Amino acid sequence: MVRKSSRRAAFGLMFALATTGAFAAEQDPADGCTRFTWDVSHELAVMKQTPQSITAGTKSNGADSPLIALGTLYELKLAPQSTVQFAVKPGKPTLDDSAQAGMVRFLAPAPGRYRVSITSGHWLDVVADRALVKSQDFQGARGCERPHKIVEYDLPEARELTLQLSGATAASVIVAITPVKASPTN
Amino acid sequence: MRARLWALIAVAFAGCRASLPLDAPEIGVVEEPDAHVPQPWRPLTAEEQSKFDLGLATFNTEWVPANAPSGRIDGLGPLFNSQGCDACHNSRRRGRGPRGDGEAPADLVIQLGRRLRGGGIERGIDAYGHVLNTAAVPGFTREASVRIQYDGEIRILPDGTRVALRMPRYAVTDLSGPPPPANTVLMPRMPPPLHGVGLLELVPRSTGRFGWQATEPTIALQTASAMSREMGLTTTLVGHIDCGHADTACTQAPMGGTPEVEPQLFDALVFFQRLQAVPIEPARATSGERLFAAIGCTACHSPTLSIRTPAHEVRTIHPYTDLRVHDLGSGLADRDVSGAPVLSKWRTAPLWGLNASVRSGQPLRLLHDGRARSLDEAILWHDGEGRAARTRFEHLTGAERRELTTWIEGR
Repeated sequence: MVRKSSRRAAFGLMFALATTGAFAAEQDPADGCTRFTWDVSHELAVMKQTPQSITAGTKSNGADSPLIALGTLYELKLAPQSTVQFAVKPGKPTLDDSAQAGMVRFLAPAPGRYRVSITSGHWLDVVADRALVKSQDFQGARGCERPHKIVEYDLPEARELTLQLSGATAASVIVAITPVKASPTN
Repeated sequence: MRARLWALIAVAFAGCRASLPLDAPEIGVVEEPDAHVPQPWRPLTAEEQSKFDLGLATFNTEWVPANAPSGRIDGLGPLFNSQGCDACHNSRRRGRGPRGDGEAPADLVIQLGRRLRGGGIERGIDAYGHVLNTAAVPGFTREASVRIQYDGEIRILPDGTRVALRMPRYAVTDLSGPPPPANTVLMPRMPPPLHGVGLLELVPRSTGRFGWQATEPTIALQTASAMSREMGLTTTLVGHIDCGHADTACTQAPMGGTPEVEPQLFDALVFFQRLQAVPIEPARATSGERLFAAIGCTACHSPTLSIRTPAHEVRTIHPYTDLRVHDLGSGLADRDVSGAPVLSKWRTAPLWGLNASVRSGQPLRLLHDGRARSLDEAILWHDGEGRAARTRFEHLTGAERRELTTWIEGR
C-alpha cells in the first residue's frame, strides 16, 4: 500500500556540513528578501523609494495622526508607548518598557486585500470604527530588513482607517501600505 | 461486524482509570471569540488579573539585545531563534510551522542530542548546546542555517483514497563552529499550543509532562528552558544560556541583567500560562466522538483526566491526552546524521484547543515537526503503539473519516 523508494534514502537527513571557515558570513539582507513566498515585487519596489519623514500620532481621536497615501514610502517617527493613547487597545498588549508606538490614518479606496510592510518588528493593528480588523496572514523573511515583515488585511469597504504600531523599540520605522493586485494567497 | 469490533475495542479500553474520580465537574474551558484576548479558567481577583495581564504582555513582548537599550526587556541572545514567546507560540496556538521546501521557519527549532550506544538520546552536544540557534544579535554569528526538503509518499487507503504524505529532510549549513560528531541527532520541534497547560500541571503525576517528549515537569521549568535555549535569556531557574562549550564569543557576551528576565516578569509569565483557559467551540452533534473511541484513539488520547485544583477541589478536564510517552514507530522517530532512526517516544499530544488553530485560518501543521498538513496525515503517520488505531482509521469509510477529523478539529 505504500509507494517507497529507498526508505533509508527518503528518510535520510541531509546534514550538509559546510566548512566555510570558522564563522559563516552574515547573510546578505538583499538575498533574504527573495525568501518571501508571496509575490512581493510591488512591496519591494515601493520599499526602494526615498521615504517621506512624518511623525506618527499619539492621540486616540486621531487628531494628530497624519494621513498617508497608498503605495508611498514613509519614515514614521514614533513616541514612547507609555505616552500613546491608542484608538483601540492593541491586539497584542506588550510591556511598555522602551517600546515606541504611534498611529497614522489611511484611506482604503475600495474593498479588498491590502498589505502593510514595515522595517521593524512592531505589532500592527488596523482599526475601523474603533474595532480591530482581523489580519489575514503575515510573512517575514529572515535576512530581509526592508521590509522586515508584511501583514495582510481584508478591508471591507472604501473608508478611512487607522494603523497602530506598538510593541517594539525602534523609534522610527519605514512603512508602506499597498493594495494586493494578485490573488490573495499568491 | 464492524459494530462488534468497536464494542470489543471499547471494552478493552474501559479498564483505564486515573486515581481520582472521573465524574467530577468539568473545569478549564471557555468560549474565546478573540484569540488575542485570553481568558482565565477561574475567576481572578483584581490583583491576579493584573498579574495575568502582565504575564500576557511579557509573553507578547519582543526582547532586545543586552543594553539596547538597557531595562527590563534586554538580554536577548547573543544567539537565539526568536525574540519573544508569541513569535513562535502564535497567540498560544501551535506554531505556524514550515509551509514547504526552503529555509526552516524560526518557529521550527532544531534541538540537538547525542545517540547513546545502548540506545536512547542524551540531550545537547558540546559544540552547539541543546538547540541550533539560527539567529544572532548584531556583532555575533548564528550557529547555523537550516533548510527543509520534503520527499513525497502516497498512502493508498483500502477504499482507494490516496493521501499524500511528506517526509522532511534537513540540511544544516553555515555552521559557526566545528562539524558536530557523527552520533549527533537532529530533533526538529514545533512550538506546541499552550492552552490549558496549567490544568495539565495539576494532573497527579510524578514525572515530566511538558514538551513533545514530556521532558519537563513544570511550566516554570519548561518556560525557563525555552527562554535559555531559544531566546538566550537567563531566569531565576536557568541561569545560563545555550552556548557551545568552545564558543567564547557567546559565553562572554554582555548580559542584560542577572537574571535577564526579572523575577516579577517571569513569575507573571508562568502565572499567565497556568491560568489561561482552553478555548472551545459550541458542541455539535456528530458521530466523530463515537468513532474516536471506537477505533482506539482514546487508548492514548484520554478524553478525561482528573485534577485537584489549588483549592483542593476535584475536577475533570478533557485534554485528550494521557500525558504519557509512546513509541510511534520509526517514521516519526528522530534521526542521527546518517539517517538512522533513534528510538523516540512521544507524549500523547493534547487535542484540546485545536479549534483555535483551525479557526485562525492558517494552514495546519501537525506533529512534532509540522510535517502533517491535516489530521488525516497526522493519523496516518501513527505507527508503533498507534498502529492499530491508525489501521482502523484507514478502514473507515471516507464519510466516517471526515466525521472523525471534523470532530477532532472542534476540540
